[in-house]
Amino acid sequence: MTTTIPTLETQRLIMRTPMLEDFEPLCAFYASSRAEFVGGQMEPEQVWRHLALEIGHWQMLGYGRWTLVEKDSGKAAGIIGLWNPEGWPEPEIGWDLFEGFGGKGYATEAATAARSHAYDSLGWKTAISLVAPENHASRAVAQRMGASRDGDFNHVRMGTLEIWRHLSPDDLAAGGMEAYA
Amino acid sequence: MSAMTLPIPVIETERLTLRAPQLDDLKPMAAFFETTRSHMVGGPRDAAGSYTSLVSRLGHWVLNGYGLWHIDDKATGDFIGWTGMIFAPGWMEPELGWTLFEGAEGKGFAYEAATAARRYAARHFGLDGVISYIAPANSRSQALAERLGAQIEIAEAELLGKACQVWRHPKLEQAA
Repeated sequence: MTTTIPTLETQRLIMRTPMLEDFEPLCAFYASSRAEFVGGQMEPEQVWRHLALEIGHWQMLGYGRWTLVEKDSGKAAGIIGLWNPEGWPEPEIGWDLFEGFGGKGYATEAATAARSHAYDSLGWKTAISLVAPENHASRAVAQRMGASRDGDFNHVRMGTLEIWRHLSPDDLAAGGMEAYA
Repeated sequence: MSAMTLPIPVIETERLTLRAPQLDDLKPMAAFFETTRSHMVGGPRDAAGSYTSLVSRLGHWVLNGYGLWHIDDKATGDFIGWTGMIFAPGWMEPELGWTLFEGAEGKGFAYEAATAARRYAARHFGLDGVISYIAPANSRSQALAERLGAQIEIAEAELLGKACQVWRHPKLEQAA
């Protein structure tokens, strides 16, 4: 069985398949307060399992999340992409940035590339993002991408999450965010 | 583009097929992880936990180059459990594990599957003379370990915070 995982490139980032070398940066992320909005802190044993889940998601569904590598430093900056595990309301564009990589617009840059992949290569007609109510940085990314609120989703472990509905392929073809300005 | 190869071979035994975990397996897995039978093998888990377990098994193969096979009964086509090699942070070394669903027991299936997995791991993964972690109360699994020729190496060990025994399997050339 072989799954082909596209490597995406944006202005400042390479988006590549998650691999074993991401384990340590992921451990640091899941030990930090940044994990608070994405299910909470995790011990290394759980983080390894989560990394295996990220990779297995690609294998099982043919899409998944990419590890972001900052071109300038070569460092792993986060994990962003398409996510649709059991219990999810519908396929999501999700973004987690590691400590020290926030505030640079990387989430917007990578999530926009992930959205293009979903629409152009996978043929998705819509996509959502789930945002914890207190996660203001994440909400700002959704807004910057032109997404709009579309109700709530109650996750069995993470509680109430805001659903943000992304611009559709048609919206984007019609001018994207500018059309709504 | 990068191709990510999932190196999961298919193994045929007399009565069983050992094959890659697949999405269709989720329902039976979730049913199993809801039962008390799962308490000795990492359960119970809710549906999301079963999904994580299923999908992360594929990632385990990619990360380690080996992992768990799901077992089908050739006669019925039913998915009846799993066996194979497990290794992750917290494990002292790669482990041979096995689980059969209720209803598939008492037919020698676990022995047949675990023997095939153990042989394959020794020949192709370089994992020979491996361990098995077994919960102290899991007498069925202990009986199978004995039948497989394994012996208790550590009577009181711990895996992910739970008490367990460590059993050591014979190397391939010593195994029957």
